[in-house]
Amino acid sequence: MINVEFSKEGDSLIATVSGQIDTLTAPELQNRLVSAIEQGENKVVMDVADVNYVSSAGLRVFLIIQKKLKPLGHGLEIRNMRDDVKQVFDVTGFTGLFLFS
Amino acid sequence: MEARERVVKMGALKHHSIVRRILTLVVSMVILIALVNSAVINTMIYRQLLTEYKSKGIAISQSIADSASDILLFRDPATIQSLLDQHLTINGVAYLVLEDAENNIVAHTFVPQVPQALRTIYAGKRTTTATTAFHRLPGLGNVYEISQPILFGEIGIIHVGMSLKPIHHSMLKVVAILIPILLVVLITALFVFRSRLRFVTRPLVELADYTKHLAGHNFEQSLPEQGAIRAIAAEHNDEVGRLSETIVSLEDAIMTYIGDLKRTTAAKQKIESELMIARQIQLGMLPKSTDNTAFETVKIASYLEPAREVGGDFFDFINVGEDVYIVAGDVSGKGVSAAIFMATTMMLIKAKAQEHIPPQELMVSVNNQLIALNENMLFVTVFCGKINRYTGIFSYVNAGHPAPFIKRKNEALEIPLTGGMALGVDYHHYYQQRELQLENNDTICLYTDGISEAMDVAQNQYTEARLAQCIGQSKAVSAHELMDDILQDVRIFSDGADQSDDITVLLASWCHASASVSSELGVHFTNDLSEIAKLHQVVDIYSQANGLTKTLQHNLKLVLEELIANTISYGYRDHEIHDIKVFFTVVNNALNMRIEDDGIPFNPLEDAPEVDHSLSLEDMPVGGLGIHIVKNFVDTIHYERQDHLNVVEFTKSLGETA
Repeated sequence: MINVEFSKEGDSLIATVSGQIDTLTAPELQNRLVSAIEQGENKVVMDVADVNYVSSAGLRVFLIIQKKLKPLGHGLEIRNMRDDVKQVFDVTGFTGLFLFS
Repeated sequence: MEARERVVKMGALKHHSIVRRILTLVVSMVILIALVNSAVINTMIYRQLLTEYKSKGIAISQSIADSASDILLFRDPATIQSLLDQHLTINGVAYLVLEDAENNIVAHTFVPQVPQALRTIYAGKRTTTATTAFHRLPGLGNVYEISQPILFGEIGIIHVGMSLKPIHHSMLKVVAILIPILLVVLITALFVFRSRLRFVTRPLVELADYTKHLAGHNFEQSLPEQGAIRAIAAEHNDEVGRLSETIVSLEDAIMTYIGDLKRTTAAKQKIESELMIARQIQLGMLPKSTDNTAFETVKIASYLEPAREVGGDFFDFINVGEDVYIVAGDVSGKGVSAAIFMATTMMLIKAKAQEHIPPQELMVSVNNQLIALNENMLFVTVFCGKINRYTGIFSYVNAGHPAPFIKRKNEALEIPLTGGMALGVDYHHYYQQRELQLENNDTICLYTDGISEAMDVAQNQYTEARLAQCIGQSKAVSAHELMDDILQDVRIFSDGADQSDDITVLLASWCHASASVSSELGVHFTNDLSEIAKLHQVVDIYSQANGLTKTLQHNLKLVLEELIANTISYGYRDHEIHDIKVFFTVVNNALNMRIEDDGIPFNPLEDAPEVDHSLSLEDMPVGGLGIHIVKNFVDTIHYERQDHLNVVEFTKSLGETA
């Protein structure tokens, strides 16, 4: 129920995610992103236009990725987040931790 | 014990009665012989004596006649009287009467008078030859009289009366001697005879008792009396001996027979009881269906009746992810080998279905595994399909199985074959899969040839055509009702004929998701995180069915996932399977949700930390977000511990959309 595709845009890694990020799919997303970072990617952009659902398990993935990227200089950039998903970031105070575009 | 005593008594009574009867018979016969004997002897003695008397009387009368002729001529009464008196002294002579030619009594020996009876007899009677006659005279009894004419009756007649008393005395004497002798002989004979009779009848009594006991005998071992009966057989070289021998050999034969019977019965019972266990195990492997077995949109009805104790038919229905697999199969042959092959096939399919793979892959895999295991060259026809609970897409593979039907309104549509070979035959066989789109309330009818080839008493087959007709015409509104209709029609057709093959039907009806969910819904989940996928599907179906907005659907999904994932992850201290129940209701334009779990007491509302919006990234905790989300996305929320249950209830307004 989740799909992640990577592409490069300059020196940024674009992770296009579709589906829903929930208790079941979060670990896979986390693994894919963490291994990308461990392979040397330090500028990561997540395009979540096709993500229709993020639960707290999904939030934890964003948080963990951010905690890994921040020390490398660039924070995680999140693109095209839907409003109902954004609402989850808002109520948990996560909005301020990421760069939304 | 009382009965046995009575039997013995009856035997003893019979013994007495046989002896008594024979004795009575013998005694009567002996008495009869004695009587006949005495009668014959007496008659002979009587005749002998009478003859002697007659000649004696004739001699006397002759001598008197001879001597009397002169005397009569001289008419000397004193001489005549003395002559008569003289003869009266001769033994046996009762009287003498002398008549002259004119029938006048000249002299007689009667005192004082000649009896009137004699006078009457003598009156006017003349004779020229000697005559004899019997007279009964008062005082003298029976008398034998000889009348002798003197000189041809010219001078007179001399009557000599011979008394029969001496004859009677002689006869009585003979009887008096004969009867005691006979009695002595009789009594002696009886005693001897009686003991001989006892000797003959005692074995009969023993035999009678013995056969009585045989009737109530269990024939596990010989009766204790058998020894005695064998002794009789050895002792008596007659019918009784042969009878004893026959009865003893009869007992032996029955014992051997009963022993054999018990052994074969025990062996048969053992096999039967093992077959019954096998049957229970086999039937136990099949999933159970009730009147309302359902996986949300897919309702199941199933029936299997083996023709023998165990059979080769099987069916299965397995709910995996968003699919329900339905399987029906029939192993070639019957009995134990078919049953074992059936079990193997069923388990392989069940295991493969859990991998949630398409029927085509499933069949290829099971086929290859069966061939590897199949040395007895059994094969199995299988129909395997999976219904997507939400889309109603039915994908299936038919491996040599009779084509199932779909009941669509009043029609029975045959599901097109896929041209697959039965499993267990051809290694690496490529099984082709087909798909079709189910319509709302379609019912798929899987069956085995036990249905289509069910026989009536005249050996006619039920046929697929009649099954199709039955399915099409059925007014059933559920899978279960349709199954009842089919089985009923087959029973009516068979009309009591023996069931020749296993009978299996598996029906699965599908209804469109939105049509199956009411605003009141209770769903069970287990404490496994994979259940979250099901939770999302349930929320999607519920929202669709009740017209919830996308936002509300999203938020409901979110809240339920946070609460339930939390319970599954932290609510249990054991590794057992637990039930989590979620109830949906709509009251006063608001969605009322209730979640029950039997985990450790935990109030998620109190025990979760508040999220501090001002925290920096480094300080932001990774956990504890879920409950915060929950609180922000519900209108009201309440926790209560009820007995052993954690109960969380929350509400969410339906807004303008309701």
